[in-house]
Amino acid sequence: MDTATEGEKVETPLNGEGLLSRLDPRVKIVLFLVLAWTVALAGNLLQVFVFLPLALLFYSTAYRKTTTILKLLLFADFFLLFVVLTQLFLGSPYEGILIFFKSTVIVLFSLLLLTTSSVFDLLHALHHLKVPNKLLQITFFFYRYLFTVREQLQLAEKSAKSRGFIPKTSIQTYKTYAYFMGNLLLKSYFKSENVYKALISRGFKGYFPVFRHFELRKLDILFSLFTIIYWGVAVWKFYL
Amino acid sequence: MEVLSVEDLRVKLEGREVLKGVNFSLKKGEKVFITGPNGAGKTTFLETLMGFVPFEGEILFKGKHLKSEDDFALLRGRVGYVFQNPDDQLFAPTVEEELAFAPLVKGIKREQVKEIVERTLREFEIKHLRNKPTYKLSGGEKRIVSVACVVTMDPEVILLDEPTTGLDRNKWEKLVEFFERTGSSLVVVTHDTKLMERLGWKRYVMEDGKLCSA
Repeated sequence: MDTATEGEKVETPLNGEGLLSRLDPRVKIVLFLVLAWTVALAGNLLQVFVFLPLALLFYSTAYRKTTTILKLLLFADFFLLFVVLTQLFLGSPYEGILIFFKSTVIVLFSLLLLTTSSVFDLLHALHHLKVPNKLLQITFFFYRYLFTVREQLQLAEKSAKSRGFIPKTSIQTYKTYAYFMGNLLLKSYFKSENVYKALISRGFKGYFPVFRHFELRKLDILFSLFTIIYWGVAVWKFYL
Repeated sequence: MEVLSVEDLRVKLEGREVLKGVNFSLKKGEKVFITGPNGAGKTTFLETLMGFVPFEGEILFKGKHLKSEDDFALLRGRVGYVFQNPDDQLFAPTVEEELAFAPLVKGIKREQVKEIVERTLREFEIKHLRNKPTYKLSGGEKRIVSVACVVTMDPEVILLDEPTTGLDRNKWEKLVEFFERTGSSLVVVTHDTKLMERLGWKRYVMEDGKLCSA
């Protein structure tokens, strides 16, 4: 069923509207896993750089607004700089630079995967790829209620601020935050009980049925073929 | 014919007697209100009917005594429950998945589920919310979706806990139209006097754990 034509599009973390967002998440997971794995096995910079054009090509087709993902990448690279510096002091700068570029390309592939599909679609795709159901359900509920926990914390903060609370370095502030945490813990417990009731009141039997199913389309096959050929040639020429 | 009835229902929670010998019956297609002060036991009463709370006394669904968890599991396939807080009720990733959950769990074929979902989206005028994550809905939208996702179960009885709280005029009207139209029996816990006056159904008052006809 193609519901994307009616109503609002399913939301992805960055609302990617490019080519990658239209692809079957199962295809993306398998291909990006293979690409990331290959880059992780690279022994020299050339083996890393051979996949950079592919990553950049995907990147250029993934988003209308490209700055957000760039910021995320720079954020990750900031931490990688410490790895380079450590290697520099240990006397093996080449290793540091290699780790830096390897990680950058892998992070870029990961971001391309994670920001062009909704978390729920990715979990659904993982289910098709035979990842254990219980693990997926735990992840699903964790992600689903992460927002509720954040919302509850924000509400508590608003409530305190509306009664004149100003966070300072004081016992009163620590106490207030301890109340927030305690309150959050209790609310989470009661909410989990209510969610369980909601599940069983609608007949939950230990599995989560999914309404929207994936369909492998021509675009997925073409994308897979292109990526596999690129990967095959790159491995044949630079890895073997 | 009575679809749901209780006899001398007693519930004790944390040492306090919350329900003190409640008697109640609901006929097929009958629609009633339960009102009463906060903390009188209205929500506990609905939760007990769903089998969420340990009780003493008798609960009967179509004349069958409900005792075990298996009995209540069967009941839950035919009795829908709309929670007081819609945030507790909505757990699926999108509105569409939320509506499809119960019929899919029931084992209804996907094509049929698609029709049910479409019909319900139209009925409640929430087609535009179809792919919206449930945690991103506004308070009123959550409320309407929480009712809609119970309606897709095609239940014989629907228990609703303060369903009109926080609704704007338009959504309130939509819900009232649904109440008037539906063939399911309804038990509506509410403080909404306008709703009670408009529909004019039989009223019960729950006070200090006891239920009596108003």
